[in-house]
Amino acid sequence: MPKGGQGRADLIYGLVAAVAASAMFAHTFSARYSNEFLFGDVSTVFFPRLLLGTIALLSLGLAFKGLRSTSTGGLPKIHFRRFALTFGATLVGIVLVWYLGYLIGMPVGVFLVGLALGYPRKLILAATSVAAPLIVWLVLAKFAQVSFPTGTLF
Amino acid sequence: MIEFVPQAFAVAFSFEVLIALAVGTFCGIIIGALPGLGTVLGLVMALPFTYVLDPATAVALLLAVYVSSIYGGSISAILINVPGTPQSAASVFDGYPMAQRGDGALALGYATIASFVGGIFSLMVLVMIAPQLAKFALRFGPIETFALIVFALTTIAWVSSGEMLKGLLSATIGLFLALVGPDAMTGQIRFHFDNLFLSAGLTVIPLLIGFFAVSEVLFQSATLKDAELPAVRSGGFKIPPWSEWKKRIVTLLRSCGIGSFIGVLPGTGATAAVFVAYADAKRRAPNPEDFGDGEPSGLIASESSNNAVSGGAMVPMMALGIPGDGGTVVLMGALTIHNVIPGVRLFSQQPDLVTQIFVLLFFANILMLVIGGFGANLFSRMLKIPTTLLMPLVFMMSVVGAYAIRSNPVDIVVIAVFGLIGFLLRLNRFPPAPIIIGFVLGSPLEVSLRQGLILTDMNFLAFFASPIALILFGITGLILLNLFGAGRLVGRVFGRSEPEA
Repeated sequence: MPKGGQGRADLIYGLVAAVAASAMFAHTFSARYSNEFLFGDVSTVFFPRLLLGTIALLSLGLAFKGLRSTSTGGLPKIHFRRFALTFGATLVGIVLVWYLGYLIGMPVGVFLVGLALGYPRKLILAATSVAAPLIVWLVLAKFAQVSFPTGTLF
Repeated sequence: MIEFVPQAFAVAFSFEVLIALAVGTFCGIIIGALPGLGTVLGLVMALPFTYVLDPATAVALLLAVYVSSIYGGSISAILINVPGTPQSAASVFDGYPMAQRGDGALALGYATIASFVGGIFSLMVLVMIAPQLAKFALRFGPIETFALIVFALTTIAWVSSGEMLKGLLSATIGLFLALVGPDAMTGQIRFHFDNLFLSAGLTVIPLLIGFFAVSEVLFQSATLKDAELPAVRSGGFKIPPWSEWKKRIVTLLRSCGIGSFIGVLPGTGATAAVFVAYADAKRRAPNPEDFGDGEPSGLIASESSNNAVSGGAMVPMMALGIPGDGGTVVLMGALTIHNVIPGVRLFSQQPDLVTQIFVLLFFANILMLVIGGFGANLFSRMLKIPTTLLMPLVFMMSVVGAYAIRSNPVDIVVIAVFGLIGFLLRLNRFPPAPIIIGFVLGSPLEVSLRQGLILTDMNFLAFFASPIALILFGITGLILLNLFGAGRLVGRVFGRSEPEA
């Protein structure tokens, strides 16, 4: 078992991809596709099975490579807290846009993402969060008639 | 096609197209110059603006962003020692030392003119090769098409990543994602798991935005070193004297040739081209020891070759419908939105539009030279905008771009999901481009394989009866042999020692 770094990551990624591909491969034998008669041997699941088999093989190859690796480095150092905050902020932004629409949700989303990334000047960030979505909305929605999320609550 | 040239010039001189070219060039240079953004992200952010434009104006905007963002990367490479795009990585070697000794304006002059020459050179290559290639490809049946796509995907996976296994895995995953939804031949819905959204299939734009833009925001959040503002060297623009160019004209032209040739090969891209051109220029120079200390020839080689890739990379995209890198995938996706389908039949069915693309590319390069020269001071000031302020805006444009394409809020969720997947893959050095290229080529690959097998009564060996397919399969086989370490095996059999890592 590799101690960490690239080797362990390859092992985990390889195993996850192999399991997912195998599950999908098994899915192609479900009753859903049993009524498939068009084109005989080259049916609708013919190519997916080929691909899923290839993915499973390549993934196992990656896992094996990871297992044999003795390297403990190779991966970029990540700032987990900042990543988690940023991902959370993007999700909050998306939820707000979904429910409240672009004009209310996006400024909050932009502000939260900037905050999570660590931009230090709050006032500039707040002004940008309001101004940028508004300008984009004016240019695209008002002048170019591009559709924007209006929010499911309204 | 020559008969369409006057009409194409008339389109290029129309008010909307000129504005689109100018805005695209201006924004493209800024996007290229700001580290962390880059060509693909620039094109993705420009996409929503093209939805409502007519095809010519939309193509003008995207081509301008494509061409100028490659050049823009040199500004930050020269002035802050950080390449704005991976394509400008070699420009820091000589560009920054020039800026350090007070020749920043001269370095920008070299970079701008070399980029322009590279762009025009590659345009000539595109004009000469693409129509001939498309004409030749008209002979392709399903078997040849299958062989070509397999070859292209293998090459892309081989070159775009340091690790071929991951590149191949990425491409295969991309191919599989394209199969979600209705089967192109029977219409049966696959892999939808009773989900209404999945039953319609995934579309390329939200996938692109997720993999390239949202994953970039997440990747920056995880790996950003600090929020300090970069120290920017003085910018400006100074045209280098002709006597200096005269000494380096061979380097310039040879680098243009290298860039264009590498650009034509699927998947190789500008990053590979610049290092090949730089190494070649250094090897042939009378003063190789000056490379890395501010020798203009190094900067010329890097900047002319990366822009020379732009036209070259469009050859397989336009003539065969095979995008060679992330930038051409977005271009192809945008063209498809406007019912312009790149590929073999584009040249025979829409020669007027093809001519327009050539002419627009010409104007995009001219505007890059003009705006790059006059705006050098402004662009150097923009380098002070920190990444932590730019990334929220990338997030904003991602949401706008994903939603606007078909007004479906689920697409916003799709970009978040694929953003996270893209981030996890990038973390373990999986290249994102093969996934998207695989996704684009998934459906044609499946259809060509199944049609080929039906035509040959399920005899796959008959695929090798076609000389074109045989050659393509042969090259693909050689690449795959390399993957499984056959080179080392041959070395051992013949008693050659392996090179040390």
